[in-house]
Amino acid sequence: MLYTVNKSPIMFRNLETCLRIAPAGDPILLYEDGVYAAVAGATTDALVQEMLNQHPVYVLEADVQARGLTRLISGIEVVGYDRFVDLVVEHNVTPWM
Amino acid sequence: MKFGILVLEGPYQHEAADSAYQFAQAAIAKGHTIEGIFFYTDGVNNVNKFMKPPAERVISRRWAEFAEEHDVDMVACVAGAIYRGMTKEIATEHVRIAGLGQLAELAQKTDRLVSFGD
Amino acid sequence: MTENSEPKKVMVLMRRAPYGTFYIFEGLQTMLVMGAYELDISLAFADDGVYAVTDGQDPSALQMKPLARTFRALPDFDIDQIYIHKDSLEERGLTLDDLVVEPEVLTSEELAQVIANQDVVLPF
Repeated sequence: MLYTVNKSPIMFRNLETCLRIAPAGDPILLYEDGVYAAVAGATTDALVQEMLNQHPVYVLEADVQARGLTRLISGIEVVGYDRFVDLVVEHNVTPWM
Repeated sequence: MKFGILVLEGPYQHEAADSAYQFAQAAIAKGHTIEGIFFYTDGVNNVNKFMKPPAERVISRRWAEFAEEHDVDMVACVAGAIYRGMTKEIATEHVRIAGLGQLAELAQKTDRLVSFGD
Repeated sequence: MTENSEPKKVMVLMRRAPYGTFYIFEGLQTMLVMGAYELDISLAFADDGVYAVTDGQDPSALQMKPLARTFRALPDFDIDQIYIHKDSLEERGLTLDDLVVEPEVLTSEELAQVIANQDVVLPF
């Protein structure tokens, strides 16, 4: 199952509650305001590191670029919409919105 | 693969209306098929043909052209439409106003039904 | 996939509180209509979604439609796969006695397993 998260992890608990459900190994895609989780140096660093230990994590490039985010946590793969589509082909989707 | 898309938010209010479009375009570019797009709740406002944002993407026009070019069945939920005064006369061409049963059918006939919302 | 294939497994996943947004109401309408089709429908409550089915709701002063009566009637619509997330209930100080439905209580792992079996998850 692909879990997708579209909320800022500092403003909302979506990422945190997603991570207690999503089984280890299931991919997680950050998009829309969910991409703020990929920013290094925020209070959510530890949560995101924990996520990276358990899941392949992707962040949508168009949303990163739109928000001017540059300092991204390494290990998160920056992907285009084409890869988003591939992930949906490879997995069913649970939008954790 | 056959995709269906559910849009749950309105235009120029939430990125969901744009994300759904970008996803649909990317799916087509990859050679997949979009069997249908179901606009529900505030999502029905995405098909209002009278929207005229100055020097901007025109979300309803963009969807209409997408449907035309790729032969995509676009449905605005009749309940959502009645609640919001969205009528056939207001909607862009190619949009059908029909019931939630169409969403059920979309779920059944596609390989993936992907939702975009708040 | 053809239309003659097995009924798709569709979960309506409610994670929002009622009334503050319209999502729960719309999710409920979706449940009721989809339940009438040849789909294998389930309903799951997690996070603030558990507030959707607490007893004692009365939105009459807001002139909004009450939701609890419809939730109570779900078994009449042959919707009998109803799940609720244990941690979400507990962190809100709720128990099954506070609810208008009788869902199956699932741990995070159990809910993940049910989700993993779905073809479609609709978020409300």
